[in-house]
This record gives sequence, structure tokens and C-alpha cells, in this order.
Amino acid sequence: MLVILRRIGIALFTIFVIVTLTFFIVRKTPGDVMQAWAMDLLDTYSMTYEDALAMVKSWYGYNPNQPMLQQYIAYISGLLKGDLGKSFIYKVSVNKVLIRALPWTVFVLSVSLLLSFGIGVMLGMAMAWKRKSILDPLVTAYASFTGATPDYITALILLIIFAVNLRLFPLKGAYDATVNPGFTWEFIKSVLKHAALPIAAYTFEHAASWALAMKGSAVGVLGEDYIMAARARGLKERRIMIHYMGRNAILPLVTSLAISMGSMVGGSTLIETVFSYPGVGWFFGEALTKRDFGLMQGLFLFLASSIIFANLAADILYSILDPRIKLEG
Amino acid sequence: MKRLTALLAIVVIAGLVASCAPPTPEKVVETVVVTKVVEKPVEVTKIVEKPVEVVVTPTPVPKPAVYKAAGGWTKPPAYHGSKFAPGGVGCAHWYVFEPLFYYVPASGDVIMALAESFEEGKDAFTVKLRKDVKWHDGKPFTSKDVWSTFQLRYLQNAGIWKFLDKVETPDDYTVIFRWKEPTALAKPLIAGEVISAPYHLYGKWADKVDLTVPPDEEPNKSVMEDLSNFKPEFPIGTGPFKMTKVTASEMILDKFADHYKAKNVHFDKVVVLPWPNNEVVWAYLMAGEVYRAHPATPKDTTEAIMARQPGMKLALPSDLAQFGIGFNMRVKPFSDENFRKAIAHAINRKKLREITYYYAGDVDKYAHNVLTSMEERWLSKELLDSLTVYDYDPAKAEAMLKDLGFTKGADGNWLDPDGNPLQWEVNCPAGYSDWVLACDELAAQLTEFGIPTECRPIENAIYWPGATAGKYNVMLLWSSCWWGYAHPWRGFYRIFFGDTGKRIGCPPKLTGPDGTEVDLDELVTKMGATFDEAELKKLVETAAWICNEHMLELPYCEKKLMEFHNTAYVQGWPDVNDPLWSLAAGGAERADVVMMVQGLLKPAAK
Repeated sequence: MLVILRRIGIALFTIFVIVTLTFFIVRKTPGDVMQAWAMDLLDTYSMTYEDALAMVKSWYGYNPNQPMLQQYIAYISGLLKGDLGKSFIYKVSVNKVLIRALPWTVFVLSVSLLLSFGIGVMLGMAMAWKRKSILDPLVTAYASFTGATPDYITALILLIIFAVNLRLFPLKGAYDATVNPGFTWEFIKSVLKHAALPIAAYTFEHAASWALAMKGSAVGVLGEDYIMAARARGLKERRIMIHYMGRNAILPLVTSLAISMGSMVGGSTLIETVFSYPGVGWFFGEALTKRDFGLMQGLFLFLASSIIFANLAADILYSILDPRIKLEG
Repeated sequence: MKRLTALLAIVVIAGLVASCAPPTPEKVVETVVVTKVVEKPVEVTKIVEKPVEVVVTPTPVPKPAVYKAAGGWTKPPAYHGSKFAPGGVGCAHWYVFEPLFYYVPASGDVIMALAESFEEGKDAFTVKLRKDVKWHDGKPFTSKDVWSTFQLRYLQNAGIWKFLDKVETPDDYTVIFRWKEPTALAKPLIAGEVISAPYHLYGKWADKVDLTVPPDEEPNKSVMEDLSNFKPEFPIGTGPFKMTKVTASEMILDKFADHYKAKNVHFDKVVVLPWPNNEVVWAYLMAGEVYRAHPATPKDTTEAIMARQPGMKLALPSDLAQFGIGFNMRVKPFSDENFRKAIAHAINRKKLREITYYYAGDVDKYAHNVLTSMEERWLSKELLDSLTVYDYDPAKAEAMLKDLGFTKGADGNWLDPDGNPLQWEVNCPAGYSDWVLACDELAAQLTEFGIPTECRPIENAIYWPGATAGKYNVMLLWSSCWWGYAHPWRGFYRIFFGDTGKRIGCPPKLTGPDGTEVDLDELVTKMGATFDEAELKKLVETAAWICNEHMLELPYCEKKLMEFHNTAYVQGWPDVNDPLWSLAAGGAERADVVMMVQGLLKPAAK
């Protein structure tokens, strides 16, 4: 118990360091966001550059002349009260953004992550078990393809095939705007239908990397004595593959899965953008391109905290899954 | 067990397939009881009454006529309905709000909106308002609303306030714009402002604006800060559509039944889909999900869209802007105009246009900075004949460079008069395919000419400030842009003193056609003030001559808006050459609204 408490203490300290670093780093990002934002507004509002710049200056809620230390103290005291900060541009609290966007991101990405993990693990086991089969080069080629193509391209291909050509799924959004949100079959059906393509895009992009990781781990396990002993005992191949090889080979992947679970709260900016999905990714993209320090640091903090705590959970879980591993402070 | 699993799998798959199927259309069935007499050949005649179901098809409820477009807006929860705070209104701007009148850039015509008439004078511009206008919340529209809008636009440093002294409202339906000094730009200036601050909602801030102090000083600064915290759920305007729903994936506007020209508007709803990037909008167009959109589109994709949607048409109005190549005139050898002229001959502008923006307009003769599409209106044939033509002619470029003392090294690359090799970098804003393709092609052309050049795109937020600070020697930039005022004054202001002028380092004085030195500030100021058409043309020609003969920067194409519009869903679109399309520059939805309110656009008959 003491070890766990100590680990939590280290995690909190890590978060504090991250908060401090991100606070200063985002403010030192090169570039003048106001000029860039003004250039974007020119066309949208049919304005002159000077008008657009004046409008942006009147909107931007960041005062660069306020001493950095004063800003930092105000930010930290807000954090201690559970306030993740405020968007300098949109003047809404980061908490509000997260409450609205996070459920969609968590829904789509957790389903995608579990699906890609499940498919990847099964493929990896099969590849390790039948090493000279056609499956190995096929999955390796698939992994090379998905590794080389950004999520964005896969999302666009799926959009064109399934939404534009076959018209099986909607083009955009989280649910049909004519359906009222609520616990009704109509709403649930609409949500599932809208989530199908983002989930498919993410799953397709990530399953291969899980497969390769699982294959690597499983090949190592195959040489273990207990596999040989199981074969000598005449156990069925399927049983050896799943219960002896699979269960042991999956252990190292648990940590990666936990970290992925933690990092998924950052959303998938590219996939969410293509499908206009209202998740955290869109706000992340906006915060970065518009140098919205408030939104940026709030989202970074949330993301970093999620990864750190997911990592901590993985460590604890690992020690439970594998009795040979002990938690040490 | 296996069978059970298989059965369950089938059920799940069936469920999924069902959920993916298009919704079953609702049918209305009415049951009517009728009495029927049945006779049976039996000994005793018996009357049997039997209820029989008869299906009666009722008159179908008409489906709402929906107009579908694509645009951008801030996603909830950041979205709100104030134009005076960031994140507000979005692309619904022109559907919800209206100006006093519209100014058609291509023809110079005026189309009345909230104004009934106007009278233009040197010191004042008097507008008579319509009396049958209501705000979306039912309140009547009066001159006080116009006043409060312009008061709040003062806080935002709006361009019109460079000329405007004050706005007077002698009665509920008269507005007088008093100018600080006479301006010939009154119509485009006023037309560029939508009336977006109803006094009953924004009056408490408008009343506090002090026109005697700058917008960023007290009390105006505090008023602006307070105003930017006001975020109504939806915008309240006077336009033909009112906002009813905004989600991350759709913006829904309903027809405003009390609009003064509601009878002309044939659409019950406008649904706007999000515009995350051009690729997604191409998909919308191919699927027939939006009826009008203007994504910059390569040739093959355009052909694919047209083939997929046979009813699709393409109008190409000018976006009132040119892409250009800027040289940093602060440093050698770019400070020498003869050197810039030589380089201009080494650049194949037509090829640059074809590769980067196929449907853009050619700008491959001059560098005078009057938009090519407006050339005929503003420049005489005599002037054009007198200007230097910068056609693609590498041999001429080579000869000119040699005259300037440049030589070619053993490797075929150019050396400056001191024997140093010329080696350049072309910079452009990253993340936009049209800029980056142009940058790559320009670098390739210059390298082929003997000046090894690399293209280096730079992130937006770093690029523009860097360019303004004179950090880049060869750069891609917006050349002459008439956004906002649709007048050559706008373009020359930008080239001489605006952002482009700062980026290229334009000097304040240059020699004019008659050999005397011209004060560029004075020239542009006169251009914005004169009411004499002949004098205006003469001033424009002088500025055009200066730009061309001093080769201030090299425009390589005129940006055209690729206005895809689908006749299979909407009928009544004007001809692709109609000046009305020019309203789309800087506001594609503005063109939609004008066409709708004029009664042109209607749902296509199935």
C-alpha cells in the first residue's frame, strides 16, 4: 500500500513538472498568432488586413505584458481549485470543453482501441504460431502500409467508399441533428451509425502495429520450456496457442494498452477532423494552430495526467496479472 | 454452444445491418369503416355487416425545401451568437445579418437590403431605411440599430472608421453617415458592414462608446472587454434565415417568416455542413450532400465531381485577389529593380498557375496590380500598350543579368558581379497545398534557370510575422487584394503600405510615368477621395505604371472562386458569367442570400 501511495506521489510530482514546463514552453512558442489569425479572417469576413488585425487584437484575451510569474501563480491557484484554465480565444473554460467533447472521444477511441487491440493480438498470435504461412508477409505489408499512411488518408478513403459511393454511413458528425439526444433507440442507432467510420478508420490504422508487437512477444514465449512441456503432455494446439502462448505473450502489451488508453483522451485530431466528429481532437487542433495558450495548456495537462495515471494503473495491474513482478518504490 | 454463438452472431450482424439501412419512410394510414351488404343464396336472407379496412392515401405533407451548403463555425460549447466576441456566428453571418445594401464588385451595382434609398454627398451619406423590417426576436428595426452597430464596430477599429466621423439618426428611419473627409468609397464601405447589433440587445455597450478616444483606451477598452463576454446562444439578425440549431456537425437555419421579402425566399431551411478541409467538401459535392460550395479543386478532382453529379455547374468569379512573388527590396540584389525585372522573365507564370491553381486566372503579362479581371474597367489600352511585358523569356533574362554584371559559373549556375554564387530559398506559408505547390514549382524553375533554389514552407503563425519583419528574400504572398472594398484603392494601399508593402519593403516615393517623384501616400489618399471618375482613372493608371515599371512584386495568378452549384437540387442559378457571382468574394453565403431574396433560387422540381 505504501508503495502505491509513493507511486501516486511521484505521479503527482511528474504532473506538477509537466504543468510548469508546458506553461512556459507554450508561451515561448515562436510566431505571432494574431497576424496569422488575421490572415485567416481576411477571406472569411471580407475584411482588410488592418481591420482583421484590429479585430483579432480586440478579441485575444492574452496580455503578454503581464509578468510571467504572476500568470503562473494565477494558473496554479486555479488548478488547485480544479479549474483547468480558460481558452484565451473562445473565453470558455477548458473544463466545459472537456465535458462536452470528452465523452465522444472516449466512446469512439475506446471502442477503436479495444477492437484494434483484439484484432491485433489475434493476428499476432496466429503469425507467431504459423510462422511460415502467408499471414506473416501479409500482415507485415499491412503494417507497413498503415505505418506509412497517416490516419487522415485512411479516414478519407473510408469516407469516399462507404459514405460517398455506397452511402452506407453518414459523412459527418456524431449523430443526426434532427434526432434529439436521449436514451432512445433512434438516438443510439444514429450514434452508432455515425461512429462506425471513425472507429473503422482508427481500428484499421492501429491493428497492424498491435499484431506486430504481439507476434514479437509471442515468438519469445514459444521458446519457453512450459510450451514444450505442454506439447509433451499432448495438449491440443489451440489450447497451447491461446492459454499458454497467448496469455503469457500478452502481458508486455498491457502496459502499451494502458498508455494508449491514457493518451486517447487527447483525441485523434486528423480522424475527428475528417468526420467532423465533436471530440477533443478538434479543440486540440484549434488550440495549436491559433496558439490558444489557455486551451493548449489545459488540454495538455489533462492528457499528461491521463497518461501518467494510466501508466500507474498499468504498473499495478501488471503486478496483479504476473505474480513474478513486484511493485517497488 | 457453438450454434448459440453462431445464432447470436447472426442476430448482432443483422442488427448492425439494420442500423445501417436508410430510414424507412413514414407512412400515414387511415382506417375508415364502411358498411357492405353481402347477399348469400340461402333460404333466409340475412344482412351481414362487416367492417372493411380501406387505405386512403392522404394529401402528403410537403417536405421542407432545404438548401444545403458547407462552411465553418466554432464548435459548441465555444459557439455563440455575438459578432463582437471570438467564436461567434461563423459562416451563418450573411444568412442571419444584412447590410444596408449590397455592392456588386463586378458591375459596381447596388442592391438594396435594409435601405430603401440613399443619397451620396461629399460630406455625408444619407440612408432611408425600410419600415417593414423586424429582428428575429420580433422587435422592430430602426435607425438606432444601425447606430449601435457602427458604435460597436468603432471598438473593433473597423476600416470604415478611418473615414467616418459619426453616425446620426435624425429619425427612426433615417441614418446619416458623416465623413471626416470626402470619400468615393462610401458604397463599398457601407455595404461591407452588416447590421448586427440590435439596440435592444447591444445598446448598453453602444451608449458607452466614446468616439473621442481610440478604441484601445479607456473607457472603450473596458466596454470591449465587457462586450466580448456577452454570448447569446444564437445570433439575432434581420436576415432571411434565423438560427435554430448548432451542433459540431450541422448548422440549421429556418426561414424567417417575418422577413420583408419572405415571399421571394423558396427555401424553408438552410443546412450548413462543416468544412474541415477541401478534401471533405469534395466528398460532400460528389455525394450531392451540398448544393453550393467553393473549395479550391485540382483539375482531375473537378472533372470527377462534374462526372459524378451531372447537374453540377462551375462558376469562376474572381476572389478579388492575386497570388504573387515578393522580393525583399531592402537587400541586394533584390533592391535593384532591373535585377527583379530580369528574374521576372525567368519565371513561367502560366505554368506556375497551371500547377498550383488550375482554374485561376492568368496573370502572365504585366505586374501592374490591377486585377486582370478588372483591367478593362480601370486601365486604358494606351496605358497597357506602354507598359513593359514580363513574359517568360529565359534568354532575355540571361541577357539582362549579364548586362548587370552577373556571370555564369562552370556549373551553369549564376554568380553575382563579385563572383559569389546565387543560391536562394523561397518561403511560403505551410499547410496550404496551393502555396506549397507554387513554392516547389518556383524553386524548380529558378534552379533550372541557374539559381539553385529550395522551397521552405514555414508555419503560418511564424511565416507572416517573419515576412513582415523582412526576414525572407523571395517569398509567396497575397499580391493585389481588393477584399473589403472591391476598389483599386484597396489593392494599391496594400502593395504600397499595407501588409504586402511592409513585406517587400516598398519605398515611400517612386518615380512616376512623367519622370517626377510620386509620393505614394498622397497618390493613394487622392484615389480614395476623388469623386471625379476621369481623375480616379488617371490616378489608378499612375499607380499601375509605378507597380509595373518598378516591378514591385510579381503576381502569378488571379484567384478564382470555384463556385460549384448543383442544378439537380436547386434551379434558378444565374449564368456562370453573371456579375452576381462576384458577391461570393469574401462571402460565398452573401451571394446565396442575394440570389434567394431576389427569388432566383428555387428547389429543383424532381
